[in-house]
Amino acid sequence: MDTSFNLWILLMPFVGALVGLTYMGIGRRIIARVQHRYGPPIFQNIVDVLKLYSKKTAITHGVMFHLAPTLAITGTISTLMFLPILTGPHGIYLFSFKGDLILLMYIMVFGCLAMALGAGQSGNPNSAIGVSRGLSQMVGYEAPFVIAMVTLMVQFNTTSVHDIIKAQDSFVHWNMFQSPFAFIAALFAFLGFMGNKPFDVVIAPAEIASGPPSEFGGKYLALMQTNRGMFAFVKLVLYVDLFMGGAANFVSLLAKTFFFYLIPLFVGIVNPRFRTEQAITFFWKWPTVIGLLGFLMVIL
Amino acid sequence: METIPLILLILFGSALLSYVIGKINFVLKVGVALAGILVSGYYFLQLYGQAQSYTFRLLGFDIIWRINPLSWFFGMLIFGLGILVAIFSTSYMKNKERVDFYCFALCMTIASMFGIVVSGDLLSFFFFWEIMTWASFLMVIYYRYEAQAAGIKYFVMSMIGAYSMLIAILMVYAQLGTFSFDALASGWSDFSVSFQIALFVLFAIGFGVKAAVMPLHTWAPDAYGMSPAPFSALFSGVLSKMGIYGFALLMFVFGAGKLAGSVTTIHGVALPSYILAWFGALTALIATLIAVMQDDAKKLLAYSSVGQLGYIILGFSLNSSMGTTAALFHAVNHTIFKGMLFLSIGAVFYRTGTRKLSEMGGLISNMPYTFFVVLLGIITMAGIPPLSGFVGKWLIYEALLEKQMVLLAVVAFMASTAAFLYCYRLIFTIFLGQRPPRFDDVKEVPWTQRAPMLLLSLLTIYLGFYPYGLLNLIGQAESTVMGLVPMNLSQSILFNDLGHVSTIAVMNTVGTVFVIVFVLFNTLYKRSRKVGLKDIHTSGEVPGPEINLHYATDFYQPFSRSIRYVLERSADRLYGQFANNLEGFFDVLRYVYTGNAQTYALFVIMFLAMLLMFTNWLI
Repeated sequence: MDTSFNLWILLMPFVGALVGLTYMGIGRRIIARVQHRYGPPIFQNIVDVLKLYSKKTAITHGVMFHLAPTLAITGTISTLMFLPILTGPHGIYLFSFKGDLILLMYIMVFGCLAMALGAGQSGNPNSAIGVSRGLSQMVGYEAPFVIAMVTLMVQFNTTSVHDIIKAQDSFVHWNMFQSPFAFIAALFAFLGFMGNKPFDVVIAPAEIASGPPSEFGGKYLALMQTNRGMFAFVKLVLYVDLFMGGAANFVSLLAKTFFFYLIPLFVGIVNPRFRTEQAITFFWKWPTVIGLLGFLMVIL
Repeated sequence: METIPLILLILFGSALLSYVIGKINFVLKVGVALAGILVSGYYFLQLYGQAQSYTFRLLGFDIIWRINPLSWFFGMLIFGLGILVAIFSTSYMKNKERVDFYCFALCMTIASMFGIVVSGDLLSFFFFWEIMTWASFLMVIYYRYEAQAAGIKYFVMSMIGAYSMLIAILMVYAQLGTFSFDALASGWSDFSVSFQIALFVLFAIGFGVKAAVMPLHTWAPDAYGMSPAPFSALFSGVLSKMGIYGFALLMFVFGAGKLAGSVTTIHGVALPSYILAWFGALTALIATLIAVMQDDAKKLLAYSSVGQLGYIILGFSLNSSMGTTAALFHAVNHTIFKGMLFLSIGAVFYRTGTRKLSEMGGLISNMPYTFFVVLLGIITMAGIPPLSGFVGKWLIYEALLEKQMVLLAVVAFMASTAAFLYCYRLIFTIFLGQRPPRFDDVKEVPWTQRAPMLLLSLLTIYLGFYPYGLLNLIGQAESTVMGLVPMNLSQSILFNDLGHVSTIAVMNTVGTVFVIVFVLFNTLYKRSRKVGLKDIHTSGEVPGPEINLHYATDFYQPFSRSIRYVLERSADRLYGQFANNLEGFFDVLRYVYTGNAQTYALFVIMFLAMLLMFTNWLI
């Protein structure tokens, strides 16, 4: 137990980053196919990150700029440590003490805040615009997300992710079937989380030149891309834990997370970008109403 | 001599003394005030864990001053922040006008707040309450003419609260014939239900004004913004907590919490408390949304303060030990981070002379310590682990979920998310981004200002790591004074029936990961080359000095468009219109009181003539 536990603590961040980056590679490939292109090789993202890591020089704009990628990845790795990754007899819990959902919801923000601060010090107005858009949109998708989370927590009368997983013991008891309204609301929020189109106002390449990360290069960009892959993995695992009853082994974990990864991807391929205020108010309309319906189901 | 009157004597004495001697010399008046606060703080520390009381008769009424764990808890906030604010003021107020006046009002406020928490009867409670209002009013109008409107607004709102409290107090006296808290606590359940509800509403208005519950909050942004910066910290950090102390008394000492037995309950909470909970939650949400749109740093913090107090009220009104623990813990948190933030904004104002967010930028390299304090302050305010803000937020959510109050929980979560927006705006527009050339030579503030801010930051780190000592203290207050069974506590983990979090594990994990990544990142790579702030990606264009590269004006414009329905409404404007209409109505009286001596002479003659006529008839 102890050796494997220590091993997983060391390995998990790398596994997360690799999985996340590979998914992104596959995503680029799929998008290319839809647009009648060939697209880059699947492992292109990983190669890019490795290339960035091998860069010898970098420029910095100040202390916060220098610290931001470090802090961001600290936040993401910490989130990973408190998230139940595999359940069942060979579970991987790391430090999760059964994974408190409220802790997860708040500690996930740690990395984002650090990144926002770093982007702020870069002095590029586009970065600041990106951050302001990102935070505004966060208030938007937080409404359906919080409603879904509170529904789950009240339904099972627990804030522990582990207990929520345990309650979904069989296929039919998965929360995506058991509380469908909460699932749909959370799914809308997930579109905002992943920042694919139509909710990519934060990086909006054609408008604000990829926004927050635009000044980062070399080793900084390498860390931030690693962080991006890992963070995608964290979000996917959280959703699998909450709505698909967790995963007992890596194969099913990969299958389930990939399923969740495809949803925002497919939505994004066929949609153009919202304006920021449209994105915010979109989340406050139907997704919120659907979430509230879920509430009624739980209360009654 | 008894300790409680001694402390009051020292504080009131140093207030008067610093004003009188203050005419002679700057060092003397500040020295007297500071010494007074420090000495009384020392005596106060010795009261820990004691149950002293001091009773005397005044004009036929029993006056009771006592100390118990609850009043010690709030006294701790008063002296903790009070001393730091006093130290901060020593350099902040240097070379300012009317320092003696400032010292007088500061000592007076601290003294009256201490008086409030030691009062054991409604009479002295009300007496100290009014002194507090008056002393803080003096501070609001420190900048004379420009502060006039803010001062009047503060005074009028405080009056509304005070009168409503006075009515409640007199109603109690008429029923019980005594002012003491103990008699009220034992006699409360004998009152009729409607009487209980009336008392609850009147007291809630009285305390709600000071705690700035919406819609009674309108004075707060102006008053916090107008008073001198160190005092704003005290204003928001401690003075508003007196309203919270009032709610604690009302719910758990006077016995409004017992209402649940006699009226309709929702989720096990009496209807009046449940409505109060909604007031708290909506205050938290709406004030936060308004705070996001502020361009004045102090007004932003003021609205944020109103919002955070909404959380505390929400915690109290749940009438459970978890909710109360959450409220009291968040009260301490709020004192700490609002102290940090108001003092840092004061420090920035001290160096730059502006509070407008859109005029500043890029001060991080000039004021690194202040930046660090603001950084920790916003992390705590946003409730992000591993700092103490998270513990307070966690307790509040658990308390809400424990009672199955789903809608309130959603509103509370939303308010907390929206708080990220103003947190980022505050730190970005002041410290990050491009620096205007006129602030190139700004220096860090002196150590007398840095030290209090840094001490508070250490405190929030410590409480994030080990909140259990403070939770024990709260538990003591709950079991001895408030008649609640305190929530179960361990010394290493936060838990209840729903879930658990180990704050120590969180802090250790975050710390370890950060150190490892930091060390690897900085040893494996060469030092980065530092470039100037103008050296950025601008698509090949070279930005000249005239091009503004700092995005600070109208920072959340898209967001303001999506919440315009909230922003269009304003309680302040409503009251303003009401006041205008009243003024128009009272204009009628001008036909009578024209200010013309001849008209008055006519009135006198007419009156005499009428008197003459009527006397003839009467006889």
